[in-house]
Amino acid sequence: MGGFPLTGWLIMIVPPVLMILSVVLWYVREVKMEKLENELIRKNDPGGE
Amino acid sequence: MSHTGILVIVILYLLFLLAVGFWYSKASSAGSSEYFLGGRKMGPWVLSMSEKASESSGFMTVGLPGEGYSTGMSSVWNAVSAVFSIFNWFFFAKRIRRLSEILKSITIPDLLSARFQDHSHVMRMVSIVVMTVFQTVYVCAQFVAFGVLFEVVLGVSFSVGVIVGGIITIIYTILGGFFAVALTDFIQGLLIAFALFILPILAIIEIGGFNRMGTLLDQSMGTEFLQPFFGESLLTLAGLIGIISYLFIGFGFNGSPHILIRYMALRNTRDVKRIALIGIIWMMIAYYGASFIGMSGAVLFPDLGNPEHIFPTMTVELLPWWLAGLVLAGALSAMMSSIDSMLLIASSTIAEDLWNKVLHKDELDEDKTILISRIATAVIGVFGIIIALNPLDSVFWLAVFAWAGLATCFGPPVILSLFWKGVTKWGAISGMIVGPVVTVLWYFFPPLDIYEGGPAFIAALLTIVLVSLVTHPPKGGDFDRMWDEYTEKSELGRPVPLPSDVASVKALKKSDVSTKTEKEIVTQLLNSKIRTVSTYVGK
Repeated sequence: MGGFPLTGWLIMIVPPVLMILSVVLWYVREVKMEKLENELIRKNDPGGE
Repeated sequence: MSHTGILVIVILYLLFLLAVGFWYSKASSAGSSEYFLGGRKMGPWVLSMSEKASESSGFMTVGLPGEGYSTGMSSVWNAVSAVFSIFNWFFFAKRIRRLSEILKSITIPDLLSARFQDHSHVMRMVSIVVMTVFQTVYVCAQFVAFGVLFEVVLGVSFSVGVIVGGIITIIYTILGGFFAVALTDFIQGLLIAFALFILPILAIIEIGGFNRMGTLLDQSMGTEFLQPFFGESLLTLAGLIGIISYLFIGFGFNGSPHILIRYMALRNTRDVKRIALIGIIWMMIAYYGASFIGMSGAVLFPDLGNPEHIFPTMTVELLPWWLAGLVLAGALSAMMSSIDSMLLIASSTIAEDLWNKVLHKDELDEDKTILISRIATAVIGVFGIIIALNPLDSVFWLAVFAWAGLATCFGPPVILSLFWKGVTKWGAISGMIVGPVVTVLWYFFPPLDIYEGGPAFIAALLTIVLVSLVTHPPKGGDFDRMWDEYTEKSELGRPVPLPSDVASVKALKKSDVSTKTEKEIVTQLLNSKIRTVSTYVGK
């Protein structure tokens, strides 16, 4: 472990993985929802004007 | 050669910033919405870098490496406080953008006054006082960091660093307004990330590897230095208080007006997801990088008199002069981006909220509003420089103190007003006063050795809730219509798209949206010139 204790490794690895993962999952969900929203906007405004 | 070379690169960079300011002085003369919010046409990359660069400041390049140097692995808890930034993106950013478009607000006090129908201007006056006081302290912290960098790296005196850096920042903020600030922040955000990424890597290579760094730190500083428990080998009450203190610093993300206003400047609410993705990656690189600069510095330069000298010391000692010049430019950028944002927010508050709205009943023309803002920028900036010549505290603690005062004034009322219709004007005003007052009292007379921002934020939240329960919320047809529009849901159960969102979808012309990839949609949006709501259109 090169002098680093387990807790040191944990705080170096766990928070960035969890935080980046949560944002990526949220990003994917947002993209999906926006696609549905686009369809809704086009449906409510078929002329596109 | 090395000092001269570094100086030449830094001067070239500062001249470049001035040129950007001059260039965008034309754009910002188009109107106060342009000047303060960049005409609400900032792209996600620009806004995200701008948000991060202005958040980070001298705290990131001078303060946090200094904490890493003195507290070791515990300083990494600062990176964990980024979770509060995630709350912003997930829960607050879109709502703030939505509310500001509906209320046609261009500053945070403007938003609060409109939301609570405060015609008495009490809210504006509280905002102006708090902003002016704490942003001057914050600006002052950045000027101190300027002085430290100039002193260590360039060998010039602390005072020269403060004065030269300060004057250049003031000039280009005055010239360019938000557009110049956001654009230069974009460049600065990238430079800071580069600096905080490359420096610890070079240091660890110099030491002989990451594991060797751990072994050497273990031998020289003890295992406690590598444990994230503030000098203890196990989690104790003192360690827990230290962790909570660092995490509480994250509250600042949720309340600082210079961060919240960036959400108001979004082109549309859909940009938030991209900003979040860019932002979290940037934060992880920058925060961990800054902490590792401190820790690796403790191996390479164990005898520094002032821990906050570690970043500039490593820059000079480890890098070739030309790269040191670039990295130093990145560090100066971090500070300048905070100073310019703070100056702009404070001066826009004085010009728009005090001069225009309170003293001239919203009848002042835009040219005069911008002129007043520019004068206020100069006055606050010069005042900050004068105080910075005799600093009261370290960069780290000056910055987080000002951060707390601002966040506890604006965070609680803004957050609660996004979710709860029943928040009252007097509830919000009470919270706006209690937050900064508790911050100051806790800083000077701490009953517990914990960062003042946390208890002050909680006290402000509780005050708003309690006072709101015994006073009357805003009422009337206009308020109800506004709230209905703000909370209206579509068939998907999400807020009904705003005109700016609909415009962005229509900007895709008549193409079939459902067949486009996200990349194509975003590329098209980036290339299209969408003008969303502007407060002054038609005036």
